[in-house]
Amino acid sequence: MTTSTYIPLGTTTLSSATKSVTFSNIDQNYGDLMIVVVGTVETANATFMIPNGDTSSLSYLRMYGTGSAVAMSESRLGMDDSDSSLIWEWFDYSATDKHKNFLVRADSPDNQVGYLGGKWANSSAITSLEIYHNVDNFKAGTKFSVWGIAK
Amino acid sequence: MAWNMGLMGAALSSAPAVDFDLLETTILTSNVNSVNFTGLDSYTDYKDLHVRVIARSTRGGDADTCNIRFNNDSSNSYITHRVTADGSLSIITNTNDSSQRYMQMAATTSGAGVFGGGTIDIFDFLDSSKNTSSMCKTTLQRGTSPILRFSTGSFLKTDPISQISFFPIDGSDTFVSGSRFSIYGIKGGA
Repeated sequence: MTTSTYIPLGTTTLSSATKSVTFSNIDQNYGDLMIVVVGTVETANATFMIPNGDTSSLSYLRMYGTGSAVAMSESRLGMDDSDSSLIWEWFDYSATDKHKNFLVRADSPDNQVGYLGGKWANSSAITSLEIYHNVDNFKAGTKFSVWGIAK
Repeated sequence: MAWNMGLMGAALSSAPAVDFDLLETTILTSNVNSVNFTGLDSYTDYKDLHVRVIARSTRGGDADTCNIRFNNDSSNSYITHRVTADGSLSIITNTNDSSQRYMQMAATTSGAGVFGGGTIDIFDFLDSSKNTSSMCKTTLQRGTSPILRFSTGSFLKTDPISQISFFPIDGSDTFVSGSRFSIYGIKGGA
């Protein structure tokens, strides 16, 4: 007996430029979470995702290619002022005995493609996620979706 | 802008039909040497497999590798290419190997609550005309910084995949309780 997974939990499309989007009261009945952001930002720069309002316990490492070089750095992935996408996966987000790993893929066609991993060093279940742009706004039309992945 | 997901529950009732299904999950309640999924060739509705792993082992130190083996085949029929970022970028290729060297896991001296996580995609797993290609993305907090690894692999046999085994790279080590292994099926076109 199989179980349907990748269940859409919520989605929103911006009707106006917005710096931050927060999903709260996240359903705790799934194994992993996937957040998909598709759209544009006013200024190409890093995009952050903050669990439970805690900015103190996040670490990141990314590898990326710019079209002419590959590199790595301990920083976030960004979105671009042309169409871009982020796919952000949180593992065992509802567990209370594990720190939370995440993997991110980002695609900014005019800029770079990147792959990022990291950890939120906290064993609390993730009940809210804030997605915000480092310096500016997500443009109107940018779409944010949250999916639950059954375990 | 804030969205209360509890008020968005109606999205569940209108969820679209999906072609991505959870097939099996093992969540460890005690330490074990290996995790095996058998009878996978019965999932004939699916073209590809997707695996999600959260794991930690009893190996000494702060990192370990979770290998996978198909069809319990330990012949030297595996090739793995790994790109790793851990302060610098490195590329390693393992040929004539007896398993696919894939997931990063936490180990004995990792901090409490630290596990490694990642995904593995296995393509055309029932096709008897192709070697089996797969791809792994994994991350682990090692010390104060993450490790990030992207790997691809080939199993140089054309046998349909009926069994996948996961085990720590050193056979004397075990996965710890709380580690999770989930397998999903992805339907393909007609």
